[in-house]
Amino acid sequence: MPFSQQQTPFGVVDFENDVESRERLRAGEILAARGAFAMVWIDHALIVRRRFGILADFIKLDASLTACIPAVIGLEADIKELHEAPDSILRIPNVSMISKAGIGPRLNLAFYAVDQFYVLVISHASGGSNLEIELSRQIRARLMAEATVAAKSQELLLANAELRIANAKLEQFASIVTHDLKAPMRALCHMTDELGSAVSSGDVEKARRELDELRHQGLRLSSMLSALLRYSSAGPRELAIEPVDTAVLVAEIVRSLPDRQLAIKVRGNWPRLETFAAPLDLVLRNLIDNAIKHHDRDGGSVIITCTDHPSALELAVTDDGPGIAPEHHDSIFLPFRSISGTSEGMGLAIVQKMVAAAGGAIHIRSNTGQSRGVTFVVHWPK
Amino acid sequence: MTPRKIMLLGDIGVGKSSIVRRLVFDEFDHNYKPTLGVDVYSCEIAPEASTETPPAKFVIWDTDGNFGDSILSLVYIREATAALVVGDLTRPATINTMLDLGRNFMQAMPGRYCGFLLNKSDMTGDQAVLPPELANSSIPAVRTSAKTGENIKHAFLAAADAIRRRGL
Repeated sequence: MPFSQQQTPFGVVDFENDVESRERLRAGEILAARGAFAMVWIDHALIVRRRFGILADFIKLDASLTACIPAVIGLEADIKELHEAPDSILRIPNVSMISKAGIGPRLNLAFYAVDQFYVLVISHASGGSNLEIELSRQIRARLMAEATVAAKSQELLLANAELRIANAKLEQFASIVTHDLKAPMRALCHMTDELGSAVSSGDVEKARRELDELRHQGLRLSSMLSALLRYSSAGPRELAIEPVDTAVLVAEIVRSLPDRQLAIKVRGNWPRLETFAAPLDLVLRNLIDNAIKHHDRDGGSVIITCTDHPSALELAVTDDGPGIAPEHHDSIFLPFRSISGTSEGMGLAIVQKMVAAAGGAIHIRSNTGQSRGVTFVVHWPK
Repeated sequence: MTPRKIMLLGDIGVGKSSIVRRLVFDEFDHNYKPTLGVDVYSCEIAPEASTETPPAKFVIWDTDGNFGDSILSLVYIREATAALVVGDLTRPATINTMLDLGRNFMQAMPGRYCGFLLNKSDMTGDQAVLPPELANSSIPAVRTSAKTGENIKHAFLAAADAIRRRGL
């Protein structure tokens, strides 16, 4: 072959007489020297045989392709298949190869089958400049930062709203406590006066009666304070998330109930989930206890139902007891509110506090089409 | 031994790059720098205890979180032996994305190993409630922290072990 003619991957080119080819080659040399692109010739055994352009300087001659370019590990068969379909191209765009030895530039890799070789054309992923990549990075970083700030602002708004609600509840709570604890205190004062006058007049019998009443009011006050302590300590400190099989939980609660004259029925779909286990146990136990305790007839029933919704459980405890008048449906959850007057009236207040602390809600529903009974419905978040 | 190809998948900003940089360079950068395209890391990890097991060689593909599910149809994932799918413990949405990606990876590439990395375990105050699907998933999950290094090496060695056992 004459010196002026050169074997190229694309056939024999006469550079002396073919001006256009010579200019093309010159243009390619300039671009390759500036790092705009590079070409690598790889044989059938995927060994690097020739390379051209400074972008390919990291590739060693006579080394295996996978040793030089880790990004092609696993793609050997895909490269070899290019000879089966000579017009096809295997592209691996936008990769940067990194190791302890250093960080490589971001490259586009494209493999072609040409004659007895595979040719790898390497180009910069951003057309020779990393400016676009850096700009995109900064825009994305800014968007992430903005999203984080927006999320934090939202959290702050939520926290403020919760704080306002908590303050309002605290005021309401203080007012209820002051009002309800005043009654036994007033009674105590009145009885000490009575006791004093009985002692002055020498009426021993009356003094003894007043002393008994005094002790009774004292015990009542002590009992109310204990209930108040239980209410104030119920809440977030018990909120530990644990896996719960709710079917097992409700069965265990029913099993632990004392002997009773009522039929307890468990219905619906009780799933396994990760939730606030102790509060859920307390809520169910209190509602079931309440339904039994306030029932006024033998042979009645309490039905406990769970409906498994995608984001929450709907728990319902229905009884056929005396019911609760609609005008008491809201106030029944306040501290010291007992419709029957047989308890301190703190059970439902504690239940509502625990449900709210778990992010749920509770309400009362009158039993449809029935004059008796009531249903407590709890939405328990998953 | 030929290095094994492992994909690092997950939503934007969950800490994929921080995890691989902790593994390869034992470093942590507080500044967030999103990955655009794919970074391919080569590394070798020695077993934690002195055993006869040789060091595991990996080619780890740290992918752009923007790919989402489309990564499963791109050339990048061809012949991957495993995927570690990352979620951010402080952002519940990324845990759901992690669950979806893991499930879809197992469907697209049956027989390959898949593991969940619940990252940012060091941020104890901000952690989200984990969905019940995670407990029921057959894909193993481990809490990690790229910041402290907690369980990072362990997660990759578990993947290497599974790859070896499965003959991938």
